[in-house]
Amino acid sequence: MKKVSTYLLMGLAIITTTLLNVSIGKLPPLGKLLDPFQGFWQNAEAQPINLPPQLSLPGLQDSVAIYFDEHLIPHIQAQNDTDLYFAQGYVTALHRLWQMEFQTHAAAGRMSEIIGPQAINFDRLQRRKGILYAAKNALRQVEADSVLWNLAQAYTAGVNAYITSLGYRDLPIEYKLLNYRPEPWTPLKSVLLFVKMADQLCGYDESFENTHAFQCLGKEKFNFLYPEYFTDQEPVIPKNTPWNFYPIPIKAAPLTIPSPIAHINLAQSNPTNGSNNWALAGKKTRSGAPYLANDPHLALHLPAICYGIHLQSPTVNVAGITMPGIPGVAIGFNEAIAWGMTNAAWTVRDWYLIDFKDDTRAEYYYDNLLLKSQSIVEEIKIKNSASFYDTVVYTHSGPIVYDDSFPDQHKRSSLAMKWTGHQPGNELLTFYLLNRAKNLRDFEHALQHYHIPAQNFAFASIQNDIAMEIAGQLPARWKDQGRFIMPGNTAAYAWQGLIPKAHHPKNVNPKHGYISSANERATGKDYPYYYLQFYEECYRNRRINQVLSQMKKIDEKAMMQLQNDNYNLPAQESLALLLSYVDTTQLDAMQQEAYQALLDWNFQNEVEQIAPSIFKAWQDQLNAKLWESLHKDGLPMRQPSFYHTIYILRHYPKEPYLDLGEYATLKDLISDTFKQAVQALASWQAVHHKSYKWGDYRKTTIKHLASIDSFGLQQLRVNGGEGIVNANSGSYGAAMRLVVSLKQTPQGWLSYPGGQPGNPGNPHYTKFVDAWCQGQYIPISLTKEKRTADNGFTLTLQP
Amino acid sequence: MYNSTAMKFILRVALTALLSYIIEQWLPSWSIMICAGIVSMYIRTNSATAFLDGFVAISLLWMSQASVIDVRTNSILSAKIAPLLGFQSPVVLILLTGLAGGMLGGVGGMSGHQLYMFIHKKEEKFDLE
Repeated sequence: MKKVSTYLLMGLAIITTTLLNVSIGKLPPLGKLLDPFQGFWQNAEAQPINLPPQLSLPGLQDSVAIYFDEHLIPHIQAQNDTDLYFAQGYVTALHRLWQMEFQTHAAAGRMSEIIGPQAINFDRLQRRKGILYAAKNALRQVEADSVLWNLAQAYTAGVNAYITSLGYRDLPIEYKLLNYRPEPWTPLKSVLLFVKMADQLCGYDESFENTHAFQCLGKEKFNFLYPEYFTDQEPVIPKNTPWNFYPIPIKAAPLTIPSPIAHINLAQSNPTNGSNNWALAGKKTRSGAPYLANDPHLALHLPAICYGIHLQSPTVNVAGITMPGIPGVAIGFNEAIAWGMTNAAWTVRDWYLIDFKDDTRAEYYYDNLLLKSQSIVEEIKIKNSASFYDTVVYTHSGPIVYDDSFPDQHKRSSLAMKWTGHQPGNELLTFYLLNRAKNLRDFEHALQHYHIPAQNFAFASIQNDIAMEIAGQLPARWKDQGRFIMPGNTAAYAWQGLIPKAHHPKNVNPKHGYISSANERATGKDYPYYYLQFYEECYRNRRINQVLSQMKKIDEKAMMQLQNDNYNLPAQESLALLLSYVDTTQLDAMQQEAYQALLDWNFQNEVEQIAPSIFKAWQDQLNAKLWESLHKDGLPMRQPSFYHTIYILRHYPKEPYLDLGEYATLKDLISDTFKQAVQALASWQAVHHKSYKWGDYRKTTIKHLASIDSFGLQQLRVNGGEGIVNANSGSYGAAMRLVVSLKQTPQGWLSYPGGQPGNPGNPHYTKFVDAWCQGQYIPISLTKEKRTADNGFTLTLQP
Repeated sequence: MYNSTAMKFILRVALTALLSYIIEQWLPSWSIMICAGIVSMYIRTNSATAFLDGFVAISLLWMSQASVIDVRTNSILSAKIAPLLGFQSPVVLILLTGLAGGMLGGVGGMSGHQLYMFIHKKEEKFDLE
């Protein structure tokens, strides 16, 4: 009997210890998690806001009033700037602390600390790309400016005031699930977030793909498949805009293209991280006042990328969206101006092959010199495991990202990454100044400090000025420089300088009354500098310009409609040509139906229609079949864009460079891809037991940042698609939509797929998602008129 | 006799639950084990009953607190946590909460009893009724 009781006791002791201390798989100790007094149950909220009307926070100089409107957008009113940014830090942490910290750790390559060894390669890449190095450089600029340093520290203090108030019970749910605690916030962490965003937007280039393509296809075929300028393009700065300057002289070097670099599975940010923006002068609008509109496209996740906010102090009154973790307003409007950005998609990142003297990699050859490199040992901490150490070698051309040990153990050359992002400007200052700008001159002055990423800034003011200016550090290149991987052992291939800011492409108050950008080519061929873009939109820009040029008496509804425009211009321009290749006499019943559906289509990518699905399935098959031969060697290669594919089919159908594979004629190939598309759709229908309406066939998913499925949203039915103004594709889409009317007191309308609180247990976690799917907006205002106790809550922060 | 056992049961359970409810406002879950243990030491029965009463007390406490929260918040979070544990129903999650709490309470209670026995050097008849 004694033995039984002893074993029983031991068993119970083990169970207890497990409940309290042991993580099983991905779950934290269950006893802690399930405790209704301390665990996850405490994160469930019945009301959207659960705060006392007053809070005392040491660190404040004066009281701060924060009015949370019915959408939980905080309208912060402070009596000085230090308190203002302190309050912004506090409130943003209140709603999004976990997201802020998770994302800054991702930037710094510290994911393995939180989620374990599966993140090691991700972290190694972040370290090797020099993200932290760039952030430290940026921080130095902030520290040197007393106003900004004060602001950054105040924001940090606000965030930390929130963090120190958290016992285990109050921790955001993800901390409980992943079993860790928040660290104190620092200004470096804010800057890291900015560098991460810059990396997402301009940490992309095509040097590898171009190098492989050139070596495998030869010069003629390469130029045929990847022309630098398309004939029918509408660049951001309209063709025939005069350039009133002489370019700085650049000395070209002979083009030398290295052999393909094998065995690198490139992890690159998505090139279609792009967006739309436009501005209209008063003469095109009903009210006579200008409009500005912006919808940045990014990977969608929850908590949402942006956070709505209104900041007011004696020096500033600005509203819009911020990135949680970064002080100020990133995109928005104040009492005089509105601004927004799209990605200019300029290539500002190049790769150099480094010629090390020996395996120690301590020195490398550079013309007739032997330069010293610098080695940094990066410690990557791993949850519940020993740290991983990676050595990153820095050259004057940047850090070595790929070498014998990364991304895996394989003999390969050392490739250094040269990136404007390593030398950030004072972007925080740009946003500080934009927040307070009163006119066009202030706007242009603010952009002087902006280095990364290269973006198209749209502007509108109550003085009825509109402008589009490309801001950022733009390398001055000679023809083809940077298109391919370059030798890093001679100064001939180094960047010789930057395009002077006064020579940047820009367009101010054009006669036709509007400016727009949608990641298309910045300029026509006549721009005096050579430049590369890693992405060039060919459809959204033309659709936007088409609509804007025809519109008169525009109001905000028209602006919202255009942001949600679902017209499939790629289909409208290509369908007749493609259908002409399909022999209708050879189609079976199902294929006939699909054919007819395409003929009847009104080119709207709407969730209830099936034609968009047929077109997309056909596009996929066509791209796969036509460009199959490009992938046969297993090297990363670019595919010609759909726009260029159609151009080739239309103008060069007999071109020998079109590899028809096993097909005898182009007609056979295109016909067959149509049939394959219908087959794919039929299979889809069989699996899903419903018709392949666009909303179901192309589902939108919004993942949770830590991939906790139940905290994300699956199965969203959303209009739009690629090459369409309402650019949603799977898990990429409009991260935010803003429309601003520049009347005497500007007014805004905002939409984004998420909610203000980042807590999945809060009723507002996904509050705006439905509205975003439907193309609806919430008003965001600079004035106090509609604030009542009924539809909002006021929190007063006291020192 | 019958009444006395029943009374003791109710008293022990109620006391454990009440004490734990108060202490858990500040301390984490291990604190309930101490509460259950203390009650066991002062209202004595045997090992098995000490475990059982502790189990019942905390599992009821935890399940009722969880239910209150769940109803008040329309299962907003339990519906999202349940899939992480392999099922869909918030009700199962509440039951699981009860089970976890119950184990802690039970072991706490039994430990309290064993401690008392140890201190007073009594041998116990391990009487499983």
